[in-house]
This record gives sequence, C-alpha cells and structure tokens, in this order.
Amino acid sequence: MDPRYDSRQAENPEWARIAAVFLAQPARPTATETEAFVAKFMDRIRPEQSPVPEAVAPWPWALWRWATPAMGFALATSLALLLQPGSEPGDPAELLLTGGEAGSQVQEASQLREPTTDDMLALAMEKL
Amino acid sequence: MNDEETVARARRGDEAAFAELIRRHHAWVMGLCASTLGDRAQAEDAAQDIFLKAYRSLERFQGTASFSTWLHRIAVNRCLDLLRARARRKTESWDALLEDEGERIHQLLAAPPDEERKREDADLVARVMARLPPAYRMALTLREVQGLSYAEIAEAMSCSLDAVKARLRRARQVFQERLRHLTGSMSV
Repeated sequence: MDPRYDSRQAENPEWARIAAVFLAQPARPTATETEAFVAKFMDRIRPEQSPVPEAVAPWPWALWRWATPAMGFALATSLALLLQPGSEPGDPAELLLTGGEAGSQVQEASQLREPTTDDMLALAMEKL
Repeated sequence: MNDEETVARARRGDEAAFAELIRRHHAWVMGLCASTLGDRAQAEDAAQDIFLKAYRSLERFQGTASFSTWLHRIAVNRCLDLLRARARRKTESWDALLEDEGERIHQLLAAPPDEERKREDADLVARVMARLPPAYRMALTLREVQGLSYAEIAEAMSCSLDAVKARLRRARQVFQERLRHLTGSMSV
C-alpha cells in the first residue's frame, strides 16, 4: 500500500480513499524495461546522427546519374553532324565517309575517256 | 557523475551520456505518462517523444534550471497536449459514467486499495480520470502520484504558486463532489 495513504487518511479520509484508488502510483519500470526503452530510443536517433543525410547521395554516384545520358547524347549529336549530307562533293574525306551519292559521281567522272577513231566516224555519219 | 556533467558530455555528442540521462529519468517520465495517459503503450510512445524533444533541444538548454526541472516541463507539456487532444474527442459525461458504472466505482472505493484489484479495474479508473479537466488532472498527478512540491509543480506547469494551490484545491473539490454519493455511504 502507498505510504502516503496513511497521512492522507488522517487529513481527509474521503480524499484519501479517492486518491488511493484513482491516483495510485503506477508500477515502476524494471531495469530490463528501461534498457529496452533506451535501445529503442537510440535506434530512433541514429538516422539523425548519420554524417551523410540520406537525401544527399555521395557525389560520384550523383555525377554518374546525369553524366551517362549527357555523354550518350553528346556522342549521338557528334555522329549525326559528321554523317550529315550536302557537304562539298570534292572533299576527299567527305567522299570517303558518304560513299553513296557522291561516290557515284566520282565513278561517273572516272569513266570518261578520250574519243576513239570509231567514235569520230560515227559522229561524222550522224551529221551526214 | 551528476546530471550537469552528463548533460555537458551529451551536448558534445556523446550518445552514451544521453543514454545515461534516460536511465536516470525514465522511471519518473514513464510514471507521469502512465498516470496521466492511462494506457501503457501510449505512455511509452509519449515518453519516447519527450526524450526525443529533450535530445533535439539540448543545445538550447541554458542550465539556469536543473536538467530534471527542464525535462519535467517538457514531459508535462507533452502529456497536457495529449490530454487536451483527448478531451476534445470525449463525449461521455460524468453523469452517464456514474449512471453506468456507479456500482463498480462504489465497490472500488469501498474495498481496501490492493494491486490486483487496481489492475482489474484500470479501465474504469482511466474513464473516471478522463472526466477531469487536463490541468486539474496534471496538477493532481504531479502532487499525489509524482510527489512534487508546490514550487516544483509551479515550475513544471509554468504557472504561479498560487495557481498551483488553487488548481489542486479545485481539482480535489470536483473529484469529491462528483463521487460524494458513492463515498458518502461508506463509513470511512
């Protein structure tokens, strides 16, 4: 029984009865309960003490997250510019790279040759 | 090592020092939370919140009052907030409670206060206590359960000594008036 009950009983018996029932001391926590409470509290504050908050990622990872697509985009743009048609046909580098249309012109140019005697005769016959 | 030295270490980031402060004051804080809130699980959550608030505010602790007084104030404010939130939700009146549970309350008051009986009727005790205004309940708990002096209650509740005395007197009066017809029939 609460030791304070006796002194209350002497002062005001009615109040002593009420206090003994409605204002009794709760059970004191055991040492094990206190340790469990401390452990739970420490788990709760540990994230707050982390030197690097979770919201801020370490910089190399943050760099790679945006650097990879940026580098890919830069490479794709460079290739697109190099392969773009409509450059000077006489440029040897361009001719080598483009191959297709410009290449056929080169081929046609290389096929022109000096007229032979037969060609001259055929031309004369046409004029007659 | 006293509280002052332990607080100084905790302020320098010593986790073990703060854990030691919790060990020293856990029983008192849990006692207050359990007495005012009734429910053991809620009391433990409230006690965690109180120590968390103290931990986060440790930098602002001036040391003008003792650490225990400062912690008591945090604990009282937290419990009062929870009691006020509950008081806004409650609908059961004194009259309805006394009508429904008058006989059980009478039996509780008539029987000598033993631990087993108190455990069995804990819900009824909580329902009766919930009828008291939060400030009265807090003043009564600090005085009758936690054993603080009037001056300590005044500091913890941030009010004058006269206000504490008035609250305690009024709280006892309300309690006794409400239960008079149940205690009056007893030869005590």
